[in-house]
Amino acid sequence: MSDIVKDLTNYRIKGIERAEIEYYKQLTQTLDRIEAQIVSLADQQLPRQAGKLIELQSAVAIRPKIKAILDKEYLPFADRVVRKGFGEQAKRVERQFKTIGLIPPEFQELTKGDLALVQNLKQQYYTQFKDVSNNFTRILSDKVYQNTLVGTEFTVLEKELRESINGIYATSSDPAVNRLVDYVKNNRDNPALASRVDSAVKILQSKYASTRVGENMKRYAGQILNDSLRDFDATLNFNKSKDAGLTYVKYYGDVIPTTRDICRRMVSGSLDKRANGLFTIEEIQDIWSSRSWSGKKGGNPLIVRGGYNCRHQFSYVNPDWYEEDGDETESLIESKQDTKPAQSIFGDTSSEEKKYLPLAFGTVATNFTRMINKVPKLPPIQKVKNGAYFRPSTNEIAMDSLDMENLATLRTFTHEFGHKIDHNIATILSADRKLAEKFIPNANKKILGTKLIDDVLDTSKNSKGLQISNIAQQEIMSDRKLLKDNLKIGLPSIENEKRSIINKITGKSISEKISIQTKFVEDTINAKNFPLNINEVKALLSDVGITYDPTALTTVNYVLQIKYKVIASQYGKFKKYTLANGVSENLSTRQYFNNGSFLRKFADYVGAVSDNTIGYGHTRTYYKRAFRTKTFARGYGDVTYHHSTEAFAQYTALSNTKNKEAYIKLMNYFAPNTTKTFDQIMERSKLL
Amino acid sequence: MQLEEILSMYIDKFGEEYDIDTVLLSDEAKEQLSNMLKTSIQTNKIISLKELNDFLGYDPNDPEILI
Repeated sequence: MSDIVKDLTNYRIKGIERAEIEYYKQLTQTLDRIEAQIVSLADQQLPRQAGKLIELQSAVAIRPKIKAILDKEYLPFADRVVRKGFGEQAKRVERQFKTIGLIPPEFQELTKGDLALVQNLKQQYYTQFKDVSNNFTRILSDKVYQNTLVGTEFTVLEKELRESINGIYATSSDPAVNRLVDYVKNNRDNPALASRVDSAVKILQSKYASTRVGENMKRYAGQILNDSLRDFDATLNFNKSKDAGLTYVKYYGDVIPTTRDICRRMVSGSLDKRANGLFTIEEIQDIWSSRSWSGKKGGNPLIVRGGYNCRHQFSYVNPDWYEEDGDETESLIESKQDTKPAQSIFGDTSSEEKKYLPLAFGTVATNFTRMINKVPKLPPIQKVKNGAYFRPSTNEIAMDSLDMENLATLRTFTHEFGHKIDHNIATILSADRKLAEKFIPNANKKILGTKLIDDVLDTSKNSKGLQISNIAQQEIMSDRKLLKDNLKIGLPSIENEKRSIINKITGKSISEKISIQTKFVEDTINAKNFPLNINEVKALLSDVGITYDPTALTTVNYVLQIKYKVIASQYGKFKKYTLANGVSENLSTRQYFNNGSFLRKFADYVGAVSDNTIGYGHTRTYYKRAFRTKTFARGYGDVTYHHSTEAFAQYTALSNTKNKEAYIKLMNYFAPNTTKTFDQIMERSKLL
Repeated sequence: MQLEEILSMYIDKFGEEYDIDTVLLSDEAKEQLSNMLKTSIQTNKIISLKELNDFLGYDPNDPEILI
């Protein structure tokens, strides 16, 4: 007879195994790229004499570049594991609780408390992945430094760097080694070839690498990948079961040759305390505390289970569900609910949307998913050579790439989908005036001889071009005025602050200079009105490939540009300003292009609001050629359809993808009125 | 030099109406466009609409699309 709890536990375990295979493949590809880039970096940056490393200065200078490579390649991988991998596993846990219908309804779904736990676990395991990155930045940098210090051959360093990243799977100059490495990489997860793969690993360890290369990034990251998915499942399951009052457990999983004795005995029933095979939580704690075994992990046994690499899981049950002999009671059999997943949070979607929407908008219902649920299916995505677009008349999106593992591509897809939401929801409103009156905040407010609702739903210009983003036209103008007027103060203020710091460090020792500059940047960030904390500044700089360094001009400029709301613009004209020291200087937003970079999609959000007085991305010609809303102000221009829809599309991209919390704060800081109105529009998703 | 810096020089030389939307270009495409702009500035020859269409694979001035 089938055992419902066993089937559902196996469903969770199989889900973890599939995710592990997928992410291990991605890890392998990521580390191969890192290996190639770091070796190439070392080759280009480290001067040699007769093949030997000679210059310590270059060896020191390479460290931030190594960090930048790891940040660029490895951290997005870690982000995917915790965001997508954990998100999907959370849904499997939820599905188990829903399928066993005997659990009270309020505990079947993921509660707010569960979601908070999921968020904390994501943060915790992301930090573990990040620690590996930081540790290996140091290890790789130390290898460069030590090899340069003693003047070894570059080829020796190259081998050490490769092995520190990929261990025995490092790329080698020996084709035989590379063949074996490829064989292991390609067949690692194929059970039919397990013994051959083991033999290949042994040959790599014994014949080609005289000692096993233990300290390598692949080993540590692979270990975290393996354990994090399983520990996440166990922690969430433990937490939900505790809330639901389930205090008995059963232990499940396959028995294979490497299964630990404790797991083998738990699964086989030789440690059973009662005929139905159930254990209380206290009994499990007693069994775990009275035994020791290789690879045992400290901590709650219900979460750490057999220890490192353990592939078994507990499931929580009520003893009333089982007869004394372990068979399921009628009530459990009858309670089993349809195991088909509930309808997607995105509604009826195309096959491409099924793949890409969860990556772009997550797997938990939000205001964005609620709106997507109401819009028509996306037609097949068109291919273009470079860039991307949305065509309102056909609802088509065109993109140059569909590699959604690339964060820039994912953000571009989310941006284009923002246009789709903007237009499709407006079409729904134009067909239902009563709904539109409720949906549009202050729908009947007067706006240049008409009402806001009438301008937003004005089909006379282009019936296919209606946009809900036009609801924010007046707020866009009020932010534009603030940003433009602020520039007269912002530009000289940045220069005054920089000169003041230069005065403070002049004549000081290097360590004093570092300390003064660090304090200056940290004080600026920690000031009450600054919108981000230091970790968010670091994350956003890393997003554009810059390492946070308070002594570097890029970091100083970035922080001051945020403080004074100044972003580069190609339309900036140089104007004379009198600085605090009485000196006149020509200043322009243009001078910040190379010395403080914002994410282009954020710069474009501000550009769309300010008509590129600050910010960049779309051109003024593009904004100008669109239909005009009723909002105009002398000296500040019109708010056109392109201003509002591009701001909304970037708001969508920035609110849903990596570092969204920080970008939401930044959008609210630079354009508070526009961002607040977009938030209000999104809140209205509940009315649809 | 960042793409927008080169773009600033380009529009200084030829006028704002010749500015190019860059917001959704990949890193490789930005590099390619930077080279096109540099050549254009050096040879004093505006990038034609045909060149731009060939580069993007669509007409950026198509009034029916949102970039």
